[in-house]
Amino acid sequence: MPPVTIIDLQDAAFGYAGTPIVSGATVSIAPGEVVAVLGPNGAGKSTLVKGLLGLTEHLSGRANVLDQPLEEVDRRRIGYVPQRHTLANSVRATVAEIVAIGRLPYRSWWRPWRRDAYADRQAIARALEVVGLGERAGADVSALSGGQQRRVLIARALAASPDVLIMDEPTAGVDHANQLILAGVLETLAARGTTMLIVTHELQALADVITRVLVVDEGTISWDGSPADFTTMTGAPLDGHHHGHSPEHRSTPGHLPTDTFDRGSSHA
Amino acid sequence: MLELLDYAFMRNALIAALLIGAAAPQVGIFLVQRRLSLIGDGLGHVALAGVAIGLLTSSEPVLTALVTAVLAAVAIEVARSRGGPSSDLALALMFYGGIAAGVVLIGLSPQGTPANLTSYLFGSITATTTTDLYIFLALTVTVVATSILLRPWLFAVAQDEEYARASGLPVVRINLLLSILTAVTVVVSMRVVGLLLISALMIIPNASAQLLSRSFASATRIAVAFGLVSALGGVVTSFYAETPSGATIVLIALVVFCVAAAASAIQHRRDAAHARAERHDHEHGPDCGHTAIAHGDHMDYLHDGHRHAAHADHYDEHAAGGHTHEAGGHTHEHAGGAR
Ligand SMILES: [Zn+2]
Ligand SMILES: [Zn+2]
Ligand SMILES: [Zn+2]
Ligand SMILES: [Zn+2]
Ligand SMILES: [Zn+2]
Repeated sequence: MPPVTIIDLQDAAFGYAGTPIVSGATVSIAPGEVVAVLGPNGAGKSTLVKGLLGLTEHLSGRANVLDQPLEEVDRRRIGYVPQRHTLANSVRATVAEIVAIGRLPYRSWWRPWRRDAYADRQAIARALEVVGLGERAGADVSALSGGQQRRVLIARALAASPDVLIMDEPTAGVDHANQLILAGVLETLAARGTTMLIVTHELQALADVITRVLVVDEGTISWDGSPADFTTMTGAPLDGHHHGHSPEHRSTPGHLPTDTFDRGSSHA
Repeated sequence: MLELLDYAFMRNALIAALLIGAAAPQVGIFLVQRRLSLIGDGLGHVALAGVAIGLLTSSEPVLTALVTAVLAAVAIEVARSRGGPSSDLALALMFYGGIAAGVVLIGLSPQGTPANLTSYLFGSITATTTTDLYIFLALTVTVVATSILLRPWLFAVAQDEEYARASGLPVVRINLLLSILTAVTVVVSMRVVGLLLISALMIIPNASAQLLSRSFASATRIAVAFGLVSALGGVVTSFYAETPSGATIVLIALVVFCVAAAASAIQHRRDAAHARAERHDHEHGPDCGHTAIAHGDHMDYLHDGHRHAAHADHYDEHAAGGHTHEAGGHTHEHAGGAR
């Protein structure tokens, strides 16, 4: 049965070691929504989304994910695309080997001869197809460009067939051309009805996909509304890229409406 | 040449070398991946204290070393997971305390000759008894079977611990398991390689294999092959040259590393010369609109009259027919654009 609400927070608090960083968070996200989470660095947006992933402590209030209390939900149904600037590791791994990690929660070590190996391979191939890396399954991940590595991380999350994708800065530190490709991937996912929660500084790059904007500031959700209202509020045009068509768009210096939230802190 | 098989101690040493040559690199690759290359070294230090306890109480030193090393491995993982500024110092205290206590206690024991101590520290081909061998066999089978069965989990946790935690994998237990596997490998290797050099056989074959492979799977296989060559080669060499086996094994592993480094440099130069396609942001795929043509093990995409094949982060220019790369490359304008 498909979930009624994907994320349902009521006065929820999240933090570390018993100390709340985010509190009083109330929001309800329905299937199919693509939500941008904006806000200055250190204001709590990472703490909030990582709370939904079980990576920070849920301290009080109600936090339901996929209609179940956060602590009981099947983690495989929540896809996570972490903020990573490089996938290069101290050992070599191919794109397919990294994406296969996404299938791992479905496997049991005591059944290495399991019959679903074929299904795993299919899921990995499909995930790579969606992010446009089908041809590079066998490539060494450290040889890929930053944008391609970001798409590998998206494919790893997709391989687990999640009901919701939580992404941390998927477009940060990626050149403009690759941002357009990434935005295209997110559009494909949105068109398939994938619910997404995207922490970002680059709203403009994702303007075509976003259906809702949350602003996290001073440890709580301080604003919640449509992209159009957000544009009106900040006064900056949230103009969409029609990626891949007009080259003149690519040279337009991207002035990000979210700059108004950046208190001059440089995010890595 | 085969006369060395006439000696019972050489048969034992060669079988022990076979076991550790296969097991050490398989565990070591995860230590390299987690940047914990020196943990094996520390556990070797602590295991010496275990050996000393065995000698003093006249019990089997291999078993007392095993218990000590496994307890230390658990303590290390607990200290690491608690983190904090003092965890690094706590490890140092444990490692130095272990080796100091080991040297002093072995000196006090009846069998505490300098030769005996040296054989524990640097390995010896005459040290492996038949009892040892049965213990090693049982331990190695356990280590190899565990690391093969749980390889995907060990890989996932070492690759991205945060992601593993978010997807509900048992991160703490997997890390603890790796630590214990390391301790067991240390003990299996202590007779032939010696407690001070054990870490080298876990790490150096992996360092060499990394130079020659693109995937984790092939890197593991190559590292095991290098581990076997080094361990067996070291034991045989040490028989003829009358050198300590552990040190000989490590030197051979280093020679293998140098050869691998030279081979990878040559490969690199060859790669740099191949024909790249003109740069484009478009990614070819089944629905990209370009005609796909099967070419050996991959697809070529017909792109403005050229055949483009994915390679690393770019596309290569491929020629029709034989799988030869066009020399020289070319420049041309994209007529129709990517889409
Ligand atoms: Zn194409
Ligand atoms: Zn080709
Ligand atoms: Zn071309
Ligand atoms: Zn092309
Ligand atoms: Zn190439």
